[in-house]
This record gives sequence, C-alpha cells and structure tokens, in this order.
Amino acid sequence: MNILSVILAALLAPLFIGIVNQTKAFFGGRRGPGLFRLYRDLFKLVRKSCPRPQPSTWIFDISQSVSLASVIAAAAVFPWAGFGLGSTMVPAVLFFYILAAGRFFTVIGALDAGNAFEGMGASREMQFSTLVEPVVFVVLGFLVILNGDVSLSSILSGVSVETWRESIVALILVFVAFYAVFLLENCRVPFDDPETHLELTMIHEAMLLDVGGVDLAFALYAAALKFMLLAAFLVAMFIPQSGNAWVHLASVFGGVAFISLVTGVVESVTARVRFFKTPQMLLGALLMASLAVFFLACF
Amino acid sequence: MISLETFFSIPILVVSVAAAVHATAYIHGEARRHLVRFWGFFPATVASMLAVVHVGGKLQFLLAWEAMGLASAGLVAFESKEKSVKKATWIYLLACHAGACALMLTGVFQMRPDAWIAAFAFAVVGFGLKIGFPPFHAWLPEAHPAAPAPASAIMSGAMIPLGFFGLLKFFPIARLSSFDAQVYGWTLLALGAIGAVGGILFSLPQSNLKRLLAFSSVENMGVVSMGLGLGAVLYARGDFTPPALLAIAGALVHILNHAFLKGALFLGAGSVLRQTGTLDQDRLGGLLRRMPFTGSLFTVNAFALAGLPPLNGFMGELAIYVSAFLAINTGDPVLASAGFLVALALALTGGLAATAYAKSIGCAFLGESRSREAADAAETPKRMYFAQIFLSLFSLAMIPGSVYFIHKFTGGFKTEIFIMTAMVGFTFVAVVVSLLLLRRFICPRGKMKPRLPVWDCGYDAPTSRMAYTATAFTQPLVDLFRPILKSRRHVQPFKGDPAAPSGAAIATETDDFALGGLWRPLFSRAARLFQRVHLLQSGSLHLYILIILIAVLALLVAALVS
Amino acid sequence: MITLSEIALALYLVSDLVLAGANRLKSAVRFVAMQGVVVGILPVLMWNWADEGCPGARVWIIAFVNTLVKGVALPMLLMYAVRKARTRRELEPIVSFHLSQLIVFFIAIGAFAVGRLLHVHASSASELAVPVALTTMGTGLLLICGRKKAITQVLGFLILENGISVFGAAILLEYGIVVELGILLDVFALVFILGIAVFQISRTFSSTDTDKLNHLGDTHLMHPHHQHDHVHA
Repeated sequence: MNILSVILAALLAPLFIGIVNQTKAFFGGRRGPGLFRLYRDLFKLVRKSCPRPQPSTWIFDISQSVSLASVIAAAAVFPWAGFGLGSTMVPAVLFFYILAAGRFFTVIGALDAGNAFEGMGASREMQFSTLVEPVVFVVLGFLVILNGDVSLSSILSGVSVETWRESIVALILVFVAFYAVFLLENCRVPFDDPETHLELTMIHEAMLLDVGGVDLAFALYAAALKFMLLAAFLVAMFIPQSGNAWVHLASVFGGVAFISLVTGVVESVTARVRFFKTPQMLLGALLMASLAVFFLACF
Repeated sequence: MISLETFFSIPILVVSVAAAVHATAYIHGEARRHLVRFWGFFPATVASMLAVVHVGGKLQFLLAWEAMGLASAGLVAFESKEKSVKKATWIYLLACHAGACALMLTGVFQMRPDAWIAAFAFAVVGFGLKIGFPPFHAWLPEAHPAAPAPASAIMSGAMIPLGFFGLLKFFPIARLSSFDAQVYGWTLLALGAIGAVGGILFSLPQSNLKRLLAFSSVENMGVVSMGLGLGAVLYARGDFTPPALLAIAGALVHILNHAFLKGALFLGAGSVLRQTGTLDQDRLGGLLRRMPFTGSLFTVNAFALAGLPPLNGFMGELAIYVSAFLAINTGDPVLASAGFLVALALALTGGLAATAYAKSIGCAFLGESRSREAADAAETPKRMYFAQIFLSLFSLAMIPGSVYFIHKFTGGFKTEIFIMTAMVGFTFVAVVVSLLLLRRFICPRGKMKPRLPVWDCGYDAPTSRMAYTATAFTQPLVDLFRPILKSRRHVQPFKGDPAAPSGAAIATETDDFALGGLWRPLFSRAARLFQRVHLLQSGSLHLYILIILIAVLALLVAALVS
Repeated sequence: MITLSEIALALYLVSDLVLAGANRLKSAVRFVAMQGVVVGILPVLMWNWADEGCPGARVWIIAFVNTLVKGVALPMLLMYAVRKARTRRELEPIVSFHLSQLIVFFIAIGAFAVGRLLHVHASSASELAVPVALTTMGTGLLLICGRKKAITQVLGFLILENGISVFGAAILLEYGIVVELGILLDVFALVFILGIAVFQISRTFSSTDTDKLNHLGDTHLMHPHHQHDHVHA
C-alpha cells in the first residue's frame, strides 16, 4: 500500500503540471499543449545527449541527480495514504530539510557553470528560500499545536470536523500563508514564471540554462514531483479525517488536482510581482501564520 | 555515559591532531624561520586546554583558563609583522583578560549563596567572551583570520566551546532551583538566538573566507546556546525532563559536530591560502578542478555545517528542533513562546547558513577562476588533505554517533525519530547513487558531449569577469538586512568615453556591529576619561608624596569617623 | 451559517494584511471591492437561520444595496478617478509597507485582546466580528495616515467604513440597518465629492500628492524654493 502509493505519486506527478498549463491555455484562449506534454518532454529529453559547460566539475554532473533524489526521498516518507513508509517516526522538520538539501545542490550546480545568469538565479533562489523558511516553521508549529505531535504523519493526518468548526479562521490564515510558500517553492507566478524566456527575470529556470539531456529531464521531473508533493502537503493539512487509507489517498490526489486547477487560474489572472516585493509578501505570509498560531493558542 | 570532562576532551584531542599534521605543511617558505615560535605555543595551547577541562579546583581552573588565553594569543600573533595581526592580537588579549577578570568575580560571588544572579551574570560575561555571545564576540572575526589556519581550527573547534564547559561545570542545570533555571535558560536562549541569527547574517557579506567561517562559529555557538537554554527552560518546569534532555543532548552533539566540521573547514581555508595567497572569495574560483581533494572535502564539510541532512551537522539541530516543537506542544504559553523563538531562529539560521556556505563553495571552488593566483593553484601536499580526511571520518562517524549519544543521553526518548532520520538519510544517498547509475545507463560516457562554452545569452566570448561574484551572490539578502548589517558601498564611477567605459569599480564592506558600534566608541570614551586622571602621573616625586600623604590622612579621618 | 460568516471574517483579516502591503492602486481597489461585497452579504450570513427562518425583505434589500454600492459602485468610481487623474499606479508610502503590515498584525492582536475584554456577544453575531471590525478600522486609519496620494485617503476611508459596517452587522443587527443606510449615504456622497475633487486637483496641479498640497498653506509661500515642487509633472 505504501510503496504502491509512492509509485502512483511518481507516475502521476507530471500530469498535474499538465493540468496547470491546460488551465492557463484555457484562460489564454489557446488549445494548449495537452495534459500529457511533460511525459512526452521527459521521454524526448532522456534520449538526448548530455551537454556540460566548460568550467564545470563533478558537482555539476551530480547536482540534478541529487536534487531529484531529495524530492524522491521526501516523497517516500510522505504519508500519502495517511501513513507513509514508517512516517510515524519521521519528524516533519526532516521533510523540509531534505528538500533544502536538494535545493542546495541545484544552487551550487548552477554556480559551477560559472555563468552570470545561473549565478543570478542561484542568488535569488537562496534569497527567497531563506526568507520562506520562517513561514514554513511557523506553519509547522501551528500544525504541531493542532495535532499534538511532531511526526509527519500525525501532522498530516487530516483535521476533524470539530476542529474545522472551532478554528476555521486560523485554518484559513494558515492556508493562505502556506499557499504563498507553495507558489514560491515551486517558482510559480507571482514569484517566478516558469515560462519566461528572459534570463534576467528567471529564478529557477535560470539555474538550468546549461543543463540538458537526461539532467534536464531529472530537473523537470523533480520540479513536477515537488509541485505535487507540496500541493499534497497543503491538501493533507486540511482534508477531514476519513479513517480509510484508500479514501485518504484518493482525496489527496483529488485535492492536488484541485490545487493545480486553482494555481492555473491564479497564474492566469495575476501578474508577476517585482523581486523587491517578494520579501514583503513573505512577511505578510509570516504574519498570517503567526496570527493563526495566536488564534489557535488563545481561542 | 561519559563525563563532562571526557566529552570536552574529545574535540581538543581530535582537532589538535589534525591541526598539527596540517601545520607541518602549512608553515612554509619565509614563515619557517618562526617555526620554533609556532611549535612552542601550539602544544602549550593544547595542554592548557586539556588542563582547563581536567583540573579540579576553581583557582586551578582560572590559572589554566588564563594560560589557555595567553598561549593561544601567541598563536594568533604568529605572523606578527602584519598590522592587522597585531591589532587582532591586542583585541584577543583584551578579550581574554576581561574574561578572566569576570570569571574571578564569578568565583567571588559564588561564595555567597544569595548572590547567585551576580555570579551567573559575570559567568555569562566571562565565558561569553570565549564562546562569542553577542556582543562579546568581537574578537572572533578579528583573531581567526589573523591566526594561522591550524590555530584557527583548534580555537574555533575546540577552545570556544570550553566556555560552555565552564558554564555547565560551575552552573550545572540539574542543581539549579526552578527560578534560577528560568533565568539561566532565558539568558542563554536569548543570547543564543541573537548570536545565531546575527552571526550568520554577518558572515553572509564577508568576502574573506576565514572571516566568514569565524562569524559562522558565532552562529553555531548560538545554536548550542539555544539548545542549552531551551533545555534549562523546560527543565525548570519539572514535568518536561525528557524534552529538556533532548535539547541539551542536541546542543552537546552540535558542539562535537561543529568541532570536526569547522576544524576541517578552517584547515581547508588554510590550504587555499597556502596555494593561492589570498582568501578573498571574489578573487578565487575554479579551485575544485585545481585542488580536487581540498575542494571536495571543503564542499562536503560546508554542506554538512549548513545543517543539511543526511550529514552530521543536521543531527544536533534536529534534536533542538524536536525539543522546540515539543515545547510548543505543551500548551504552556511560556514554554510555547520559547519553543517558537527557537524554531524561528533555527529556521532563519538554517536558511542563511545554506546561503553563506553555497556562496563560499560556489564562489571559491566552482566556476571560472577569477584571478591568476587561483588559476595557477595546485593541489596541496598530501598530509594537508589527509588532516581534513581524518576530521571528516569523525564527522562521518558522528552520523550514527549522534543518534547513539542522543539515545544514551535522553534514556531512549524519541530515539526512533533519530534512527529514522539516519535511515532516511541513508535512503537519500542510495537514491542518489541509483539515479547516477541510471543516468550513466541512459547516457553512457560516449553520448556525453565534450564540455561546451556556457550559455551567456548568445555572447560567444565569456570571461571569468562575467561570472557572478561572491559579493553579488549575497547582495539581495545583504540589501534586505541593511538596517542591521550597515554595509558600506564604495562606488568608483567610470572614466572616459561612455561608449568604452573603464576604471569603474564597486566594493562593499561590512564591519562587525559590536566592534564598531559598541566596543570601539566605549573604549575610546574610556581612554578620554582616563586622560584626565593621567595628570596625576606627572613624574614629579613631590606630587607623589603629596598624594600618599593625602591618602593616609583621608584613611585616618575615615577610621576616626567610623 | 456561523461557519460561513467566520470564513468571510477570516477573508477580511487576510485582506487587511494584504491591503497594508499593497503597492498597486488597482489591486488595492480590487481588494476594497471584495471587502465591500463580503460586508454586503454579511448580514445574510450572520442571520440566525436555524431559529428565525428566512430573513425578511428588509435584510435582503440592505444586503443588496450594500453590495451594490460598496462592492460595485464605489470601486468603479475610484477606478474611474484613478484613470482620469492619471496618477501613477503605485501607492506611495510614508510608513513603509513592511512596517504597515507589522502594525496591522499588532492591531489585530490588540483587537482580539480588546474584543475578548468587551464580551460583546450579540444574539447571532460571531465572536470574531468585533475584533475583525476593529482591525479593519485600524487598517483604514493606517492607510489614511500612512500613504501620500489623495486617492489613498479615499481608499482608507472606505476601508474604515467597511470596518464600521462589520461592527454594525455584529452588534446592532436590529437597529443597525437604519444607521447603516445613513452612513452609507454619507460615504457615497463623500467618495463622490472626493473622487471629483481628486480629478480636479490633479487637472489643476498635475499631482495628487498630499505632501505637495501641504505647500499650498500660507506658511510655505514665504519660501520660494518650494515653488518648483508645485509644477512637478
């Protein structure tokens, strides 16, 4: 059941990116690339050869593999069906730190290319991921208070209907705060635009400028998996407890599909903000999460 | 369980062995003429550090403490020709003596049971001057870059944490009353939070590699202090002994991890200095290709010290995190706010540390070489990187070692979390290996393209001058925290024809807040004040006799009145 | 229906924080419009459906008028003024955006503390309504005091009004409606007049920065070096 759900998640991941893009195409009045575009892209990239920039070293060669491995490891401990691979014992902190370890390698891999644009992307990635950490940990603190334990599976075991009734305001505030984290971590509009073609404005894509072939496939797949993983985290924080593992699994994936749809809509109707605005938006998210903790603790 | 003394001896012995091996090659060329000076002070420092740990009485402790300061000051002053080294030695000596003075006062106040607060306050100052609690950390970023790398390694890895040894020895948490433990805990917690976030924040903009590492020591000692503080706050409540032990175990484990990792990093920085002649990250670059062993070891150690799994730097932080979340979970407002403070500070510290180390790896070791010195660098003699490998083996052993220590220390509380973390880390590495194999299978060596020029927007002649510099890498965060960092920017506008500009330059400089903002004004004001007293010291014998007479008379009057 | 009204109030809190940090005039107006719609339907949401059955026509009319005026008419008027006055589309802060958000955060915490002390529990109102109302009023005042453009003052006033309406919906459910309508009329007139005024001022002085309007006072006429500020494009 555990392994099955992880494999299912691994197979479904590119589909959700397809949902986002198809939604955006619908709002843009285009036919769109289809739901399964990313699968085809990955298949195509895997067959291509691997270019590597001149000054690069082994760091560049392993960086995308490490980055993908970190997301896979995080996905493996995620309680997809209400409990993951021994995830009753996995501290929630570890989940985010493993993702951070993967990101660290993407960043130093980008710096290894010795390219100004990749350095720029790496610098921005580190800036934003640094600022997003406090928001994540206030949200984790909130979940610990709500669920009474520090392990990943009990934090993500879902919310009972009574809790929904009692602390609806706090839950909404946390939802908004974590949704901002979700958008930023996955480099979506309004923080970053995965479809931009101007090197000066890229963040995540800028770090991949010199990556090609199977490495690019790894990077794209890691991005898709991370998108699904964090969306699933967001969903699992809020779905009502069901008790049945299959129902839980189905509702997590349904929720992720819904989040993808919402993200497509958000990307269609909002413009990207300036870089200078991002820290302030994260401060807003931090304050919302803190307010939620305050409500939960005092009311 | 091992005793406190044995525990604190481990980093001293391990790091000093590695540092000694490294030093045999580090001191070369001109400097070899002063070899005697180095090998005189080095064993003296190690011996006095061991004496601090092992002597019995308070007076002996003070003597050993003072000897440790003096011996290590000799090491700091090794390259005493340079002006910056002289300055750093003075600051260091001043810090040592002020610390010893405060410790004497601690001893005096400890004799009176009702003066616990005063004794503790002076202990925080005295030991804090060694540990580097803000604002007493001012000597660290001066002395570490000035000292030879092996000396920096033992000072940062093994000597600084001895401050915690002193605190734990003379103020054992288990023997404190509830109120005292609260004071103790909150003091360490607040100083630790400020030290951790502030230390790493100031390490970000530093372009000198060893200065960056020195500020990072302030950060790591802050993390340790937060762990001890949280433990004391939890312990004061009585009902929460296991989470309290967990936090303290995390702090202690972090001391060991920091010692091995930071020792290796300082040695690595020393190797870089020896081979290139500079520590300026804006002038290094591409060293991993030219010094593969030193570069790879530095990368791995820096990754670990950024507190990222699966390596050992994460374990101690994880224990503190878990304890903080358990404190939040108690529902008690005081404990919950302590937990939140710790979790927030650790989160921010973790992110900033990752940025600082990504910068030092990326800008010093990766990419294009930014100067002739870096381009001409060659790998060091073998024993220099063997010293780092030696320390890294200890770091590797600390992955299961941390789990075992925490298990033993807390009596099995939440051990499964740490075992699981180690296992997940192992899985992570296994996945990396299998992905690399998969990559090799999909894309065999024959299909690998030869290394191509990088993408620079269609521009076909990229030079190393176009690569992103260390200063540029951290500039967004440094700008964001400008109110705290107060970085100065020197801009030199270009000269000549705007179509072919030349001579433009920009440099930023970030001074230590405590040194420039607090100590320097304080001391210069004190100097001005004492200038007035200087009048008395005129050199005239008559005046001196008069002063003695007045003093004797005054004493007589005082005796009569009373 | 209490849950629905609480969701609405939570959205209010979120929008307060967002408004404090909003730097684009258009998006700020959009959020004010959203607040207007929510405050319009709030009386219906807060109605005690279980005990009192379907609310009477009066409540429906009030909700309809409120939504129409605050959610549609006034924002449209503001948008029109923004377009006509051709001001720059950014809010110029006196109090920085970061600080504004922090201030609103502390206003919210303070408001919840005060709301708890007041013990206002009207028949069917939510416990949250009073603190949220206070927070919204605080945000409005902050925007009035802490931003430069004249149009922001109108915006701030609207937010303040929204806060008062939430307050009204929370405690004065019966008689509040009459008071509400009176206030609504005032606000409508005020926004109308200010909207026209802003337009006229900007046409005359080619700027709606209130800092520069300050120079119109007598004292500043003494200092000729201020003069060039007035003809700023």
